[in-house]
Amino acid sequence: MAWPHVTCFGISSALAITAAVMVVTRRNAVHAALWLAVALVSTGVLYLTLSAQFLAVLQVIIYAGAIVVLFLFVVMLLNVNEDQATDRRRWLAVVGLALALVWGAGTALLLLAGPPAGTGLVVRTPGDVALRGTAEELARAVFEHHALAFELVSLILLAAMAGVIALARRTPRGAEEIPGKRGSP
Amino acid sequence: MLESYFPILVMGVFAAAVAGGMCLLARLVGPRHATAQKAEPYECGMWPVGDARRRFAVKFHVVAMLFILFDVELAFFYPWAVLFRDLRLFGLIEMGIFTAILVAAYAYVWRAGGFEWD
Amino acid sequence: MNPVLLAIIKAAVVVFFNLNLVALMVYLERKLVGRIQHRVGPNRAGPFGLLQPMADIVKLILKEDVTPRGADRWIYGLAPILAATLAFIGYAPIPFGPPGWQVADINVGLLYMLMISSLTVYGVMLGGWASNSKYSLLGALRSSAQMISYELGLAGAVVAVVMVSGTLDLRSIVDDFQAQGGLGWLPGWNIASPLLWPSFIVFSICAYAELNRVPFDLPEAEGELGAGFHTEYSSGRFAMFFMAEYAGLATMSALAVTLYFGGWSGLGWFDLDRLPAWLGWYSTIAPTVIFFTKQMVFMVGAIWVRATLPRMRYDQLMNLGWKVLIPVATANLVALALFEAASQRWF
Repeated sequence: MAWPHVTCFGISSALAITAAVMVVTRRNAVHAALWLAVALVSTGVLYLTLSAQFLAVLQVIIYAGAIVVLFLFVVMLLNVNEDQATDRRRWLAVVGLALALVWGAGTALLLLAGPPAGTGLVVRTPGDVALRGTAEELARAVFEHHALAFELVSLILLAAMAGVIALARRTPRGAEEIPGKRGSP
Repeated sequence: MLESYFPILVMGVFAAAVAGGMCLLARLVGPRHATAQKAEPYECGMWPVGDARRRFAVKFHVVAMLFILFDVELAFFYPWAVLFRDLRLFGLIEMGIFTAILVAAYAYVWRAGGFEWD
Repeated sequence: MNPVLLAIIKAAVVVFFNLNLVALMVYLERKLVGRIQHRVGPNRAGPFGLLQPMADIVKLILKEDVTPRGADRWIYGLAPILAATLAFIGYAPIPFGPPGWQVADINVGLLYMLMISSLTVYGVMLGGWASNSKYSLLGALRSSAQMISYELGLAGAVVAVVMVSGTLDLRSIVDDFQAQGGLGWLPGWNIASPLLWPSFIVFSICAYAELNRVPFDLPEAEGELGAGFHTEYSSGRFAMFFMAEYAGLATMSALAVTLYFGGWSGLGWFDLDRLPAWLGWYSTIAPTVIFFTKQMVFMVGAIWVRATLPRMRYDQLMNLGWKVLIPVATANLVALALFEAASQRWF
């Protein structure tokens, strides 16, 4: 038993689950977004226990460092009040919980059954020295075996940028340009 | 491999202890004369009213979204840069196509005014 | 020695050292800026004003810790501690000496540093938000938008170095220089290669913008915005933001030295195998001394820039980040790739 791995796994998964629960239960949107950042960083640490260090750092950079920042921009600029934020439809919480339990049970059963025989899927254990999770290994995998998927990613990003511009163009009704002055307010 | 990350945790604990300690010290040692005026946030101007505010807030969202997209692009650059010499011409062409498409996307955003009034 | 104990000692020593470095910077900044502006700078507290940082810290701690009404208590308390902690742990993967002289020898060290600079945005945003002041919030959001815009340039510049060194491991990037050596006395540092000069320039500019230092500190300096995201902070908490800025500067300077200026390697004369034997114990710390000397050069450079350059207007700043630095960094990568392809005859 690799004790450092087990401890790290235990702490980071407990933190990730707690943070995830906090995200959906907080009334204050900024607090929820911050708990999301905690959950994503904990997931990164989980990747570390699986020896995927490059992915762990990328996870934090992109998810916690960019996506949650976007969420925070939105929340802070829209200044959502806490009482406005509560959804009146209480039954949604029950439906959500039921779905979560169904999903959890299904996943648990799948994991206990192990990988299907003959598919070549292997469950790696932490401390497996063959994998170091470095950028070189990922690069080999992407550029030598998944070249098409990689090129398609660039098209997805292009589409996303077009979407950003389209979103930015939508002028709210009744808004006018601030006359005259250059530079931002 | 996980062991080499342990010192970061230790450093974090020390740094947080120092920072927290200093804040705590400031709370304990400083005088405590709470007055209404002191608690008021500092204001010496007017917040713009109406839709001017909405117009200007869009810029922040555009910046954040474009940042995410370019960050993801860079996330693909890192592994390529590491293995760049080994991948030779094939890797260069692969990355060349990727970069060309994204340069086109960048040029599009520039022309469409995505970088204006940032 | 027990590796856990060694890790703890190294971490403690580096944090302690950085704290002292921050204190030194407080003094140095005011003294140097004063001198450059043809005035004396602090000279009351102790000889030559050397005790000024002590006086500052004591004053800040003895001030009243005012929490603005309606401030979000948890986030208000968290923001300065988060900022300071991130700034200090950024120093972890930096190799400031031969192997062993590094707090955390991680394989993706360079990416870790980019991760830390991504996370520093939180300190700024949360500080501005928690103060329950529209002006702090506005300053914070503009600061954050600036920081994320320049992160792209920073990452682009750094990718060029990764291309040349072929690794994300800071230790390997530095050891690379030891191996090259240069023409006897010319160092084989990355800065010697003209193809990396645009990368270095972009890196420096983006580093200043990331740290919210002049000429990019408009979000904290504008008249009607008070002091930006830390308007509402006083005493110890303000000191934390202050410390975080200087610690961040130390980290960026150390990173610049590691990536472009050969890290702990000397100019060939001070290389370990060339040091005369009678230097004895000094030879063990010589690389570290060399490293910190180089780091100080960059930090003093940052102070010099602060004293000299005027502030950039916010839209000029964003234009520079998006429209100039990103294309320059990308062009640098393309040039490096094509140069390598041509010289190694991949065609």
